[in-house]
Amino acid sequence: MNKLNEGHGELLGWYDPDEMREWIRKNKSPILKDKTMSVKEATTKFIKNNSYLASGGFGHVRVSMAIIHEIVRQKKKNLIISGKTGVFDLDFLIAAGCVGKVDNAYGFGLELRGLAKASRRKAESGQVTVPAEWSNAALQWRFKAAASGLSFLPGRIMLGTDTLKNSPAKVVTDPFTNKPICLIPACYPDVAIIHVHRCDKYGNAQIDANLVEDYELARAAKRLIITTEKIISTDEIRQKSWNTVIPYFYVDAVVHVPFGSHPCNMPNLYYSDEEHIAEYIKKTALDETTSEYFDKYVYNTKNFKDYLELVGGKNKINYLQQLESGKNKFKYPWVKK
Amino acid sequence: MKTVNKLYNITEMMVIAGSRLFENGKCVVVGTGLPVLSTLLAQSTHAPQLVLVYEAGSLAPLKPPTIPISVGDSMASYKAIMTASMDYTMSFIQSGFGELRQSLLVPLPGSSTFGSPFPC
Repeated sequence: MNKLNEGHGELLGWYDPDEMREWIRKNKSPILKDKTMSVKEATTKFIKNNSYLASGGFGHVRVSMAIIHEIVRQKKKNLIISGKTGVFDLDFLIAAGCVGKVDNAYGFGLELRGLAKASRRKAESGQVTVPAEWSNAALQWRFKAAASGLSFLPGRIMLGTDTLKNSPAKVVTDPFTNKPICLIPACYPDVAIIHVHRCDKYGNAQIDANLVEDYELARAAKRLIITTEKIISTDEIRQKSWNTVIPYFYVDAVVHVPFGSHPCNMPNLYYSDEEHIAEYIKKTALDETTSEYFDKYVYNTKNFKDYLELVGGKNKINYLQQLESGKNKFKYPWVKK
Repeated sequence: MKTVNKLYNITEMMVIAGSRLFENGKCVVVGTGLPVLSTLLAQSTHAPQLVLVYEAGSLAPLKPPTIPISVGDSMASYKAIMTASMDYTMSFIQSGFGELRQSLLVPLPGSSTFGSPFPC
């Protein structure tokens, strides 16, 4: 194929598929094994300094906040984060000083809440770098390529843009149409963390919401930590097997964490805690007050349950459940008047 | 917030101008930020049958009880026909569905709200 163009971005998380096939044969097993463990154990075992980490869900929707808190508590350093719609999760890890690089599509923003000041400050001062940029479509198709055992996927995307220039993607002539086509390299994150509605002890997981990229990401990541609102039996999984989106053989750890996405939204269960997010935005707006937030909510709490008590316990959870079912009034405390 | 005149500010003007671009019965792929507001405004006024698609995976949701904060949150998939995935919605666009797209390239001056370029 005739190469027409290529970007100068750094290629992160790519392996030759043959090398990965070998790795899978050595490290993944079809034997049913109880994989339940604590947040602390899963984080210690599978998330190392310098790991390439991808957080499932959608940045502030169905995010595994319990693991993200533990990463901060354990003071992990120089993580490479997939900015695959990195929102609260990404900003939180950067603000806490755990991140070295962002492989970025959407990052450094909090959607309707505005720009993410903490992570922008770190990027602007050079403490965090962005070695590659992607479109959201490109970044998620990197996981699809990896999940399919391919070194790349072709796509009609990024062509003619500066995003392509800042990515390591290549443009070639499509041998069938003779038109330019973008080749999107695979991405195998070292570890993915995905929060689900229910799961059995082996890792068979069901999600009652948009899958976002998790259907592909679960199969692309070398190590996969599932956090779950509920543990159910394998019988229940088998009764409604059509709801299973992640089968056990991809999963390395199963962690039971009710309300484990707080302050983010868990569709059909609880809405995002905008009061808490407003406090986070206010505190992390300046370096001097950022540490106050992390001291209070992460370093001085023993675990995620302790943190949930601190943010309002049962009353707060009830309120967020009411919001999700449309039985209470929405508030947007971060709106500038 | 910067005001254009006493009746509306610059953000409101952009939202209304954007909403007028949407024809009833078309399909629009909605990016985050102001596009969420202008498509919901269009759906609430002249284009009740505007079909929305959000990148996180929701297809044809109905008008939610409140404005979505994220294009992937529960309000962006309120009573949707299907909650799919990003692979699904990006493939949907790549294969030719969705006549309209709205995105904003830059933060608006004086506004805390911004929209990112539509990512496909």
